[in-house]
Amino acid sequence: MIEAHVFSYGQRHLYADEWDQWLRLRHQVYIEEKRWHAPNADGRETDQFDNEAATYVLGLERGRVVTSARLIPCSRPTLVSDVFPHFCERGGVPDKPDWIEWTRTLTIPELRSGGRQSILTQLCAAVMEYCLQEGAAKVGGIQELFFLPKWKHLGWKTTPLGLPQEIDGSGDCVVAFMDVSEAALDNVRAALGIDHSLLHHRGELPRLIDGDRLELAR
Amino acid sequence: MTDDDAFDFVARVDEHKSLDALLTDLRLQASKFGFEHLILTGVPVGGQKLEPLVALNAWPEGWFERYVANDYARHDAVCVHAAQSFRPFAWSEVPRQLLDRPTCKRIHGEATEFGLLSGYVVTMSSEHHWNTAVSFGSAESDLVIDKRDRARLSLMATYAGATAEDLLGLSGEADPLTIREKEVLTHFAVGRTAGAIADLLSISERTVVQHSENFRRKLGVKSTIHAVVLAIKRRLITP
Repeated sequence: MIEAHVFSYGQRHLYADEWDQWLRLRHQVYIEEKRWHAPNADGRETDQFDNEAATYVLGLERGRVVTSARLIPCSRPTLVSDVFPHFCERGGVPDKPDWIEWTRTLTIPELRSGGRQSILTQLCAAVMEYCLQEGAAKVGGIQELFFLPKWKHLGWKTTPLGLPQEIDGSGDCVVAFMDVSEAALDNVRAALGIDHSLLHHRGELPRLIDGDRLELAR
Repeated sequence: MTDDDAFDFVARVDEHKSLDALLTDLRLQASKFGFEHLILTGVPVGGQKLEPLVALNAWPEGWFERYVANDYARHDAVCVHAAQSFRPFAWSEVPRQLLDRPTCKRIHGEATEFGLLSGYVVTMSSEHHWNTAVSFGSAESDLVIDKRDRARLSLMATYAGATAEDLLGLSGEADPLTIREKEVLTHFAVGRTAGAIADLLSISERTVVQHSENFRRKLGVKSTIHAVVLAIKRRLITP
């Protein structure tokens, strides 16, 4: 099982080695494999959403980064709000602080697999656990339509916010959000055959939701 | 067909407690696009038979039986392309080099006799099969589905496919291999030797051999190459 380490952008110094490993992996996956952007001379990938609003979940195995997620409250600028708002024709662009955008999930190539107990499923369990613990209502974002059945197989309820549309190089994509719930966490843990927490942190566990903004929204 | 039809279908699809109820609903939606027929199935690869993979079947009377009896899945370009495509496609968009093969032309000729002249396929990831596809068929040869209709159909088909697998209980099947066994198997699949894998993973060669014995036993095969083929076919690894 992975150790899912949670830290904020401001705490990334506590994970200097892992952070650097991860930026290199991002370059390998998003630039060299998927060709989302032109290569960077330093061989590392970052974007405008790596800022104080972001919380990171890095899946580690014996110190090696094997999988990842970046979480940002939808009350802040997100990939969906700034780049893909036209994918939300039906549900509107999410803007609530307790809706969490989930991006930058990768798995190292040798551990990619489709099974129920895959590294990806372990990451899903960690993300759901942290979101539930922090009081989030929904978690999701832009994703490939082809892989949408994954959520159903984990026993997660998913709502699309618009129709799928094609993105160059990624095929048909859709913005969809999953319900954060006890049941969702129970189901993904059952798939893994575990009943314990996967979360770890070196500093104080970061707050996912901006409290003041949540009060205003209610 | 409107956006409401598609999103309402997605919202209620969880409520269907049987494959029959799901099929009835999906057929009704498909008919709004002009599709009278559909099949929802795991896509056969590597010589698999079609019949055991089928979840929902509303193909024309007699056609399914003929298709299965003659093992048309091996030669039908639509079926072959469905195993390779990550995005939805109209039957007419299947690459010509597949469509123009004589066996395929003959199959498509026979299909027209059963009222299958044009169609649209949506493929999606599956926990159990190589992938899953919904193929919609129409008796109209020049059925026009615009971009927005394609999007509506793709969204509905994807939710229908995921729901069908759940109803069949397929998604609950245990993963036979451990993560480490799959990792070792993936290294073998890309041509690495036991020694190289041991170095890469900082484990002994003896442990690599132990992992290989375990995955061969669990998959019921005698050789590593056979294990690689089976594991890829069942999507246990994606080298």
